[in-house]
Amino acid sequence: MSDLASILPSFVASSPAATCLLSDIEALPLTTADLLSLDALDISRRLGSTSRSSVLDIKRFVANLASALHSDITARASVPAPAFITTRDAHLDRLFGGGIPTQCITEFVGESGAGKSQFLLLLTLTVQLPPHLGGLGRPAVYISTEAPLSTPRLFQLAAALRSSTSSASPSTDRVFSITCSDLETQDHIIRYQLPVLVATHNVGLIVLDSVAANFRVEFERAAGSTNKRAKTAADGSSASASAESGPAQMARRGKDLVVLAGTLRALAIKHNLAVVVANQVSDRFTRNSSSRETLSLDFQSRWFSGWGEDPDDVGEDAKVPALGLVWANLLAGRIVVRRGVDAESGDWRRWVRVVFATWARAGEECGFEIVEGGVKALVS
Amino acid sequence: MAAASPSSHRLFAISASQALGNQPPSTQSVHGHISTSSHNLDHALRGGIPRGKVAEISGPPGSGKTAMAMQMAANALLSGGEVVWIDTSHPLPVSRLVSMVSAHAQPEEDPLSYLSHVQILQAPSLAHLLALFMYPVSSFPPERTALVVVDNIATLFAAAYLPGHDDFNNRKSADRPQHPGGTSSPRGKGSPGPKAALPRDTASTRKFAIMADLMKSLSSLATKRGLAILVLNQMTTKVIPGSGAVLRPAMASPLWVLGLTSRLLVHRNDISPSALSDPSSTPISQIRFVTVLKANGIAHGTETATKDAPVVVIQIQDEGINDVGLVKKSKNTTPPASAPASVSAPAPAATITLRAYTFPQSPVIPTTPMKSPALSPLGPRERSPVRNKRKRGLEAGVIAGSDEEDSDEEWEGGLDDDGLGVELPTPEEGMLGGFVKPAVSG
Repeated sequence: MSDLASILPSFVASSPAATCLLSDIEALPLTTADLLSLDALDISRRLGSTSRSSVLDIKRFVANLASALHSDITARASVPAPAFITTRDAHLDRLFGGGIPTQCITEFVGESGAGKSQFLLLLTLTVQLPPHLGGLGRPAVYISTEAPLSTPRLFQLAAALRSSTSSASPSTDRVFSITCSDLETQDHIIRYQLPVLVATHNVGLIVLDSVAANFRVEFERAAGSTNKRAKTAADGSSASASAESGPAQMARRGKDLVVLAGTLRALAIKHNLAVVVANQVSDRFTRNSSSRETLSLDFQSRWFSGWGEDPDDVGEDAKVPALGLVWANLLAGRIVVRRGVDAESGDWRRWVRVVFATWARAGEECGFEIVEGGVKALVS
Repeated sequence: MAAASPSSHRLFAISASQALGNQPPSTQSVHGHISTSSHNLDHALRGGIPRGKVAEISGPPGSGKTAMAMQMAANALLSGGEVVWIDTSHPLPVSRLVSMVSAHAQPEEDPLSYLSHVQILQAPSLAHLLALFMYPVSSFPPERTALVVVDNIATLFAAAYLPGHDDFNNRKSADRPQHPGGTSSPRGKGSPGPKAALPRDTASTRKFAIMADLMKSLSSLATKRGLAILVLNQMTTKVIPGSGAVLRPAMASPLWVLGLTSRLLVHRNDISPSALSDPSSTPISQIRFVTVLKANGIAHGTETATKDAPVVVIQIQDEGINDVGLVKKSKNTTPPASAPASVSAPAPAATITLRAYTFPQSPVIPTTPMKSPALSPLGPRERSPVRNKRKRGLEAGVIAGSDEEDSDEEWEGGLDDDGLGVELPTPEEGMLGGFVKPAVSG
């Protein structure tokens, strides 16, 4: 029942009896959803004889809760439509269906060096542009987990943007950055510090580069040492003294991912801001899988992972984004950034493609290059 | 309400034989169903998704669930109804909805004027959704609502009942002495701490009970108000010996499935451009395969046995959903030839036109007896089926023993490998309940 504070922070008990009941219910292992769906008599039975609340009190309490949720839904119905952040390239903006939208989580996935970070850095500056230039006029937060923020490149981008838009706004001063090198720090920062920063400075973009790094390190380390107990800040309940097996870790990671995405998405909706994450890839091991069942994960992931959509194209370099289906389910859009040898010219090139997105058409791949002022689509 | 026929208030007021005798007049199929904009899919669904009922679309990310739901919303709007769209994770892409509406609107109409008939609500948590449907208020849904879309339900349940938390840790910890302080998580939703009053009341039983309660409320709202409710669902992985990790709809309990009248599974597949009658206007990336697991209340397959279910090929464009013309009968799209009519499959409504090349003569829905039962328990196929099945079945409140038949094949060839983990190509993919496997976790 302790999730009430996160679901409905504004909820206050209406009477002393309700306050008393609230604290009694807090001690029960019930979620707010349970409260709404259980019969009042059933809740009363669970409370046991220690509680002095009557069934009627409980009924009244639940009815108050439901109406508080109703008014929260009503209040949320008036949120503005999502805004979009530009990439400063008309072709890429069109490819992305107007840019990077607010109120949801967008992922850039690709190998290191493919150019994901170029997009992320660029967005931290373009979000500061005034709305008529495709920005939100708001600052950005850059949370890095691997390499710290690349400041030389950021300065270069900012200078180029200022001169090309003749707008004074894009400035590195308005990019807040922090490096979290382990999952516990990351979790603490995102859950407790980030909401305050976002509210104080009216942040318009949160960048997490990368989402997988700390999860990978944490769980691979735990897998390597059998007597060290795997512990994450998010989860005290499963910190058992015994070594945890692989599936247990994966199950817990799934849980942590859902919590992380939930926190970010709540911020995105509350403040109408965009959340952009970078994700890493790993090699795909079984590309000629024996299982040809249509619904096998291997087979279907060809389309939502971003690699292997074309059956002839499943080459040695097939990749699969980290964090799997659980994470993919939490995203509103996934954009693949890829670097490779062009079949025609034999040169190294970069491509970008929307794998899936609720707001944009997926499938079209576009070559791009990294220029001084950002990214530029290569249109023939 | 005014748009609905009077009979929709009391759906079961006529006897079955009466219903069978009354060929639905063509107007009723307009009011009675919301079209998917694909003739073939409408035909397979006996006219579209029915008003007064609950329908579900599941599929992996990017399969086109939201696009299909938006097309149905557009069709409901164009036929004069109102639409309630409930966001649970990401906002409705209004511009795409507008382009779908304007593709079919009259030229003199302003497609934006239809948007005033769309009510967008946010339900950021399961509690919000339950409050909406289980504690109804008079203003919801609005009077002339034809369609309510929930996009999507799986995210809410994943957030309320975190993956792996209930299934794995609690079950394990119940089998061994509690670690001191191990259960005093600050956010320990449903963790069976010392204060857990009822031993059977784990988070997972509550989850299934809530799914059943929610389905009951959805069905009753749909029936009472004569509106269609469309629920979008995501996929999760289950490990099946011999097949590896396989995708399954994330929300699938017997009582949930029972409440659904139509159940679609949208996914992608390889298709050669040469199989298309018009390859130039049909990019492969826009082609989706829709498996009709359940149509008109009749199950053609379950999430574990899809092979008897008809598959419809559709195309998702910016302007909406379309049929895909195929050159020849593909194995996927044609059901086994069978006797033409049966009691369980009424003749399609007169308004539906068939594409001759896709469905030459036989009806879409096979009338041969279903190989697999409509319901199957939630439990994954596990290494020691007898013991685990019983355990899972009890905890989940599941009708036990109904999947004997369709599990046979999956067991073949699955016995020589290790069942889990080792054969998994990408272990991180399968972090959900499918991994509950005592043999490995112990």
